[in-house]
Amino acid sequence: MVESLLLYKIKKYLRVIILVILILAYLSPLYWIFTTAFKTRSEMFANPFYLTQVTLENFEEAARYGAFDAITNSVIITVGGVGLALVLSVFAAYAFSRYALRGKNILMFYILSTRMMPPIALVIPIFMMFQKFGLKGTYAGLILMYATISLPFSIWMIKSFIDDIPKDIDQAAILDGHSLTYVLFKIVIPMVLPGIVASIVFSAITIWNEFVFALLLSGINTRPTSVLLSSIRGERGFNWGRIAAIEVVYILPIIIFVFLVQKHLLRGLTFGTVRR
Amino acid sequence: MAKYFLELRNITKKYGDKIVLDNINLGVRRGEMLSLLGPPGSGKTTLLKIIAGLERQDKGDILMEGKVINDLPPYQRGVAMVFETLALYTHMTVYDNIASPLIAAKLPKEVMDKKIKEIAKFLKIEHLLERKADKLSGGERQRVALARALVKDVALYLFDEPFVNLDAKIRSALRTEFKKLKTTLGKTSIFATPDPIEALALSDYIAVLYNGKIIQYGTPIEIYDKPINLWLARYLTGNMLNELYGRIVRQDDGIAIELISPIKKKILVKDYAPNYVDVLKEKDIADTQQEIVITINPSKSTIESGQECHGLEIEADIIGYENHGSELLVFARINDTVLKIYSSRDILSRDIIGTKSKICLDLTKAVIYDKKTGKVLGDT
Repeated sequence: MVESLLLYKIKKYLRVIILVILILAYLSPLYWIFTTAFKTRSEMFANPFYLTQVTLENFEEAARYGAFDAITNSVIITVGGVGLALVLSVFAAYAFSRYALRGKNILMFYILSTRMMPPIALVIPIFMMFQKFGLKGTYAGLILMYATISLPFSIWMIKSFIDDIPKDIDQAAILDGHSLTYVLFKIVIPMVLPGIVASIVFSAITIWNEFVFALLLSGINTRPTSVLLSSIRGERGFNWGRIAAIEVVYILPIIIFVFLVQKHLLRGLTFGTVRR
Repeated sequence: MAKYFLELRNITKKYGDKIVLDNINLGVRRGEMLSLLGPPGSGKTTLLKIIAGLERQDKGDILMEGKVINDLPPYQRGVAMVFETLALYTHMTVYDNIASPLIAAKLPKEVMDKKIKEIAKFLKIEHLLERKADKLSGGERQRVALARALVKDVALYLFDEPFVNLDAKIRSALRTEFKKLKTTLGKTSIFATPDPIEALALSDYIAVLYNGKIIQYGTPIEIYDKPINLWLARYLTGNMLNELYGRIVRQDDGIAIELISPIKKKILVKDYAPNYVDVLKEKDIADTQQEIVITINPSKSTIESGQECHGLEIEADIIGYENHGSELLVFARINDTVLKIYSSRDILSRDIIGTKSKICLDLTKAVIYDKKTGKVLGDT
């Protein structure tokens, strides 16, 4: 009796210890980035773990290095890409869900299959196309590229949400006397909002973090943060403080964004599968 | 003026190779309530949606007041519908749900508000108006769906199984309101239901739909008293029908039925079911010794009544009973067949289970079917 109680306690503490180790392992890179970003250059090497003296000089330097322009570029490209993909995918998803199109399944599979190829394999032809049409180095080009990347997933996800809404709902609204536009915007879209939010988050994260296409298709003035980070090579060795500062600015928006929409996101991620 | 307010002519609908509606002809007069009675999958919903214009028939015409309306879009047909799934806009409030058809009709705000409050009062959902539609109980959702249809001032209402999935109490409450609706509003309506009791209770006429065909059309009494085939007879009583099997034979003293199951006995038709003499003496029926099924409704039989039995008397073992309130449904077994009889509660004064009792089946109230085809005999 006593022994089993002891065993139980050991197990319990062991579980806690393992969890703590995992959390530390998971958070330590973040911790390193956040502390390093606020450290002075001298302290960075003397004191790798603690933060004794807070300074903003790394951020100043990051700004001088173009970090905030890069963040602005990231925001423009992400918002544009997500927006374009969203508009197209909502219409496409509604059509795929509600209409009996010839070869619908083949088309749906084709759309998904565009995501199966490794992006790097397509880089050269796409680069050539962009150059030919003058899209290289432009916001429009990047937005177009990223909308294309986001579309398949968005269409599939939003379609599955619309599929879950009985067709009777649309028909009831049509019978009420509403137009198809009204049905789509006032009835169907509000009902699949969690799914739309989830697809926005996925697209936004994908675009925000993307590197390969950004590297090849952006120009000096449209360079997003992921490209800027990779190009940092200090004049006098690596400037860890500056990198950390840019990284903080790079990570924060996405954390804040996900935090803001987490309520919808959770509903969106569980709805399609858990219900029924 | 056309005879029917709504008329369906040769309506046929296929989904792929499956024929969902097979040459439907049907008429509804103004102010009438018609039930489409049929088991799930018989095509009721499809037929309602075709009438509403939400689906298109492959063949046939829909006429409203004598005019073909095949090409009229749904909202121009002057039809309101309650869907089987209710189809409430769950992201909106009850008020906005009911307002939907009025918004589409671009009514002024004050008129709209007045109409919504009126209908909400009528259906006793005034207290729910500000609530979101996904925060309602089953009965409440049902009422909101009804309100959204009824708030529309149209000539034809379609109800697709509006009481399905509700518990018995709410069901009967809503049924009462439905009747009130019919009498006070006097609108034409079509009502699809799989429940015979509902169809019998509510409608002026019933059309029985089976595998996409209308197999019988008539008043509730006509249908109840003489179901067109054995399947419908069983369906109407919820498989509570008493069935006797036998064959027709010709004797010197007249046409007789030779009962085979559950008892063996020869009975003269003129003694037991005089109303069937004319039907059964048809030459080919008697001469081929046609096999038949005699069906008697549980309510047309008695048990231990103490009165003289003018019908067929059978002695059977009482094996149990169900209490149906004022009446009992008694189960009696004879040779592996269980007979069901409605009886007054008086027989409970003694312990009847396990005893033998005399059961009287009134064959003048029986309906006789051809065993092979399942068709009713003597249908003219």
